[in-house]
Amino acid sequence: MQRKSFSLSSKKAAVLSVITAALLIAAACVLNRFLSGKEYYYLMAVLIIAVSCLPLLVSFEKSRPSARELAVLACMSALAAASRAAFFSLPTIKPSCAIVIITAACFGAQSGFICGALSMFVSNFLFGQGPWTPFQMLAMGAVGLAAGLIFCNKKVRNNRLILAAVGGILCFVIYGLIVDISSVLMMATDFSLKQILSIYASGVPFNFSHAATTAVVLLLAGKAFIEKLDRIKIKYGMFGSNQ
Amino acid sequence: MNGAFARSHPAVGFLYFAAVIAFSLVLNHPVFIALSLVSSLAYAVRLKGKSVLKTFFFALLPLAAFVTLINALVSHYGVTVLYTFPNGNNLTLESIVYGAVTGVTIVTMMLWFVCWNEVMTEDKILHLFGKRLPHLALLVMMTLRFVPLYSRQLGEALSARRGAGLEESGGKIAKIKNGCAAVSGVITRALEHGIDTADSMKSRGYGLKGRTSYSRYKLSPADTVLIAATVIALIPIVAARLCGAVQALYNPIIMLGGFTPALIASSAAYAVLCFLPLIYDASEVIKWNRLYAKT
Repeated sequence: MQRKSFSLSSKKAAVLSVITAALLIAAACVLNRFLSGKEYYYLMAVLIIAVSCLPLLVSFEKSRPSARELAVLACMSALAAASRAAFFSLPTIKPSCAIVIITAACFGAQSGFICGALSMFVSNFLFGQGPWTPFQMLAMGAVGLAAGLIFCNKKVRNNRLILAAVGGILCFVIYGLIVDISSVLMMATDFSLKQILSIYASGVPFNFSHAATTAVVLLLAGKAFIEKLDRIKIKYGMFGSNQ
Repeated sequence: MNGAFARSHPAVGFLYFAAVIAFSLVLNHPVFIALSLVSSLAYAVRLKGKSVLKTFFFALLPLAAFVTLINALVSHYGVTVLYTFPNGNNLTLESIVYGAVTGVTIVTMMLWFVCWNEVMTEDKILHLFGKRLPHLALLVMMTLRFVPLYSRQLGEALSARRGAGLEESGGKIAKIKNGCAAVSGVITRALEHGIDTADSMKSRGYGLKGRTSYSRYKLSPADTVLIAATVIALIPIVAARLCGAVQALYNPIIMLGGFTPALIASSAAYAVLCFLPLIYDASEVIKWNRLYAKT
């Protein structure tokens, strides 16, 4: 039974997602002229996230994942979610971001996106869903997507230092930037640059410790994790490894 | 039990919470904010008991105060100057009030999400999206099932390492190292288990044509009434908001716009919307007691 490669259609979907997001943001800017007031900003942002992620989700749905791919993806997402919960008593030790990055590096950008978004969604059933859920899902999904695109090059991936550095930066920049948008949208009152920066600044220490943990986890265990995932991928011919 | 509203069809809960959360954000008039705050707190207490009050007073109210404080210190818009800081910036009444409004709105949102977490359980969300996106729904379901399993296995791995004396004492890096070793072991175990699960799924017909998913929810007449009530209550609110009759202005001056008929009518509708779950639960309790008294 021939089916489309798991990663081929995902690139088109990612491009489509970016285009949709850009169009929606432009539309929101135009709409903002008519609906004055910051009351709409949060709702618009959530709507933009939901609609622009649709191409990625639909392309996953259309790719008809095999049972094994589905099970392994669920495994890694659950591990990321469980490791967020298991080290709850040590709030700075959260290997979940590292697990998402490893999954993306081994199974591709689309799997990375799904794994990231899914792990945040599912772990929030334990931590409590809130206004931050869509932003966390998008942020972790974007980290997975970016990691998948960067680490499709095996040479880059197999260098421990590059893996850790890029992982830490992705975690700090992409995750921090996107997640803190939710605080800005809810807490800011006049959206002056000063206000936005001061809200971002209050998140920097937390984001930094999160990124540092991710980098350390990738440095210490990244290679071992990658070997395990690659072994499974090659052994069972998943995620286009047999093509 | 969480009451009749929590047992209703997933579409009811989703529509209801989407409406109240969206309008809690959009409507910034103090009357609406107060209605939404009181009703969300009341429903959260009804669902989760008195522990919510503790969270409210010791976590959420300080959060609102924090937002107010930050806004007052960082923003200097407004015309009513209360105090001028040594560096020339003004502390204004408007920035305090707008900060408080924003803070209370955040608290209200959190409270609605407390209710959401009780009412919109995993199976309800899966019912909503399972038909359109069956593979994703299956993926979410499997992940939800694996999380407690791997949490337990992680705990086992950690305690095994402790028992074997492998747990390195020391700083953060040693702790992370220990955690990584535990996670690494669980990954191996989990991946092989995942493959087993997949093979078992396949042998039971995963991917064959014509398979449907089971759901225990069916739209009952009472659910239709709830959806209709939500939509009807929204009409005057949306109308009033679009006419600009219920908009409050906080920057640069505070303008509330007085108690116009439009405000009174739309806030009555909003009260019905916000208290809908409590009203519905109460009506079901009364109905039950009547039936019970008859027998």
